[in-house]
Amino acid sequence: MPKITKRTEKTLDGNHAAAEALRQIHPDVFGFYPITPTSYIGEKFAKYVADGEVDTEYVCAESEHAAMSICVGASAAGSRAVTATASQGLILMSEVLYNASGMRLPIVLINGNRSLGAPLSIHCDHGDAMGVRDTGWIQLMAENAQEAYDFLLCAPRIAEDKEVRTPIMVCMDCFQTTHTLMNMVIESDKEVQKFVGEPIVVNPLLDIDNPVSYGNFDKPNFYMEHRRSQLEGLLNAESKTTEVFADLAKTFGRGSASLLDEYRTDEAELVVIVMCSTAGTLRKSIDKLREKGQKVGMVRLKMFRPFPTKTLRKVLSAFPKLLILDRMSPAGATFGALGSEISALFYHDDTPHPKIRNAIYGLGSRETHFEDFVKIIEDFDQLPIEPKWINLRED
Amino acid sequence: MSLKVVHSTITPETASWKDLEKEGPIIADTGNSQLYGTGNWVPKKLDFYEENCINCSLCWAVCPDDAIVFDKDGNMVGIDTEHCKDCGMCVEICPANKNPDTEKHALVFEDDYRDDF
Ligand code: SF4
Ligand code: SF4
Repeated sequence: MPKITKRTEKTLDGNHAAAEALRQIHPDVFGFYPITPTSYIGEKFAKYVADGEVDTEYVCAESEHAAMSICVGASAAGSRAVTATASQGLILMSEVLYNASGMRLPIVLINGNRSLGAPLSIHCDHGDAMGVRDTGWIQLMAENAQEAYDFLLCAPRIAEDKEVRTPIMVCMDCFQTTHTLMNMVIESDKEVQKFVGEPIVVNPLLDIDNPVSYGNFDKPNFYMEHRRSQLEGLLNAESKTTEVFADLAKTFGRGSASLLDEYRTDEAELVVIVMCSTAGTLRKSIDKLREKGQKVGMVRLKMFRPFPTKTLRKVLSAFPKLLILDRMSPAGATFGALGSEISALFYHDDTPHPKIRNAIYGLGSRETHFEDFVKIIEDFDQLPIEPKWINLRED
Repeated sequence: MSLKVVHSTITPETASWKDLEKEGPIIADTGNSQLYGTGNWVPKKLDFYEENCINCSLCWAVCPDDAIVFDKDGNMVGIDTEHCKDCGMCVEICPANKNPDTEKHALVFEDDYRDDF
C-alpha cells in the first residue's frame, strides 16, 4: 500500500492491518520466518521493502528461533526490532523470548493465536499465547483488526518506556482476526509516526565509545535481584499501557484507557470473562439474555500480562457469579490460564467472593455459536466445579 | 534515530533489587572483570613452588584470566586464586613441570576431592 497521507477508511484483515501498522512504525529490523496464519504480515512487509516504502533491514531467518534471535541482536544493538509468528513458531521462539525479556529488550511481536500440535491444527485457540505467558513479555489481546492495528501503534511506546523496558506481544486470533476483513481506520503515516515517536534506545551495543555487555552470567548473589527488577519493569507496563491507551483514545478517538472492555455489566449478576475475537459472539449472547431480562454482562481483557490484578479485583468483586472462558486445554491445571488467574484474585481476605466456573471452548477453532454461550450462561448453576468443555462430544 | 544513552555502574553485592539498573542486567563498564571473584568455584587448588620456577613467563602468556602474578622485578610470585579458574593451561606449558621428578614441578594441582570417587 502506498503512503497514506490522511486518515483513511479501509477494508482490511488483521494481517494486512498489522503490516500497515508496521510500515507506519517503520522499524529498523524485521526478523521473520513464515507460519500460518501470520505469513502474510511478513510477505506484505517484504513487498514494502522491495518497493522502497520502508528501508527496514528485513532478515529472512531459517526458523522462528533464529527470527527472535535476530530481533534480540538487533534490539541490543540499538534498533527497533519486530517480528510476527504463531503457534509452533511462538513455542520454538520461547527460549529466546526469555532472553529478550531478561535482557530487557523492547521487541514487538505479533502473534496469530493458533492451536498447537500434535495433532496438527492450523486453526485458532490460545494455547500458544498462554504457553508463553510466563516468559516475562507484555501480552496485549486484540479483539479485531482495528484493535490489533491500534495496539501495535501503542506497543513500541509501552515496551521502550524507561520504566518498562520489556518486550511486548500483540495477540490476535488466527483466521478469525488475521484473515477476516473489517471496515477500519488507518491513520496517516505522519500522525502515526508522531504518535509512536522515535525509538528510545538504551545502552546500544553499537555505541562503541561506550561499550556494554549483554546476556551476562549471574551468580546466586544477583540472580534473584535481577529477576525481581525485571518483574518491576513488567508490572510498570500496566500503568504505562493505560497511559498510552488514553493517548490513543485522545489522539485518534478510538478505544479507552481501560485495560478491560466491559459490556452491559450494569447490575449484572453474572459476568462472562473472555479474551480476543470471541467477545463479538458473546455480545450477541448477552443481548439475547438481557432481552429475556437476565442480568448478565461481559468483561473482555485487553491485557493478559502483566495480569491487571488490582483493576480486575475491584471490578469483578462486584459480581456474584463469574463464568471464565478459556480457549486452551487446562492441561492438568485446576482451570485454564484465565480461570486460574481470575480465581487467584479472590480468597485473600474475608470479603465475599464471586462464585466461579470455568469453561473451555473453541480449541482448534471448534465452532462455538452465540446460542452455545447463551446455554452455558443459563446452565451456570448446574455447571461442575471442574472446567466444562463446551461443544465437546461426550456421549 | 536519536540515541538516548543511559549508563550504569558496577553494583555492590549488598545492593537491593531496587538499586539495580532499571534497564536490565547489562555490564556498562569496561575493565571490571577484576571485580568478580570467579576463582572461588574451583574444585582444586593450584599451588606454586617458587624454588622450582625459572621465571620464563610462559604461564603468564597462556593464562586466560591474567591470574599469574609477577612482582615489579619480573619474578613470578604466585597465582591469583580469586581469578584462577583451574583451566590447567599454565600447568601444561610450564617447562619445570616437564621434569620427571614431580618434586621439581613449579605449578601443581592439589589433590582433587573428586579423585576419590
Ligand atoms: S590454571 Fe588456568 S587460570 Fe589458573 S593460573 Fe593457570 S592458566 Fe591461569
Ligand atoms: S611457566 Fe613455570 S617456570 Fe615458567 S614462569 Fe610459569 S611457573 Fe615459572
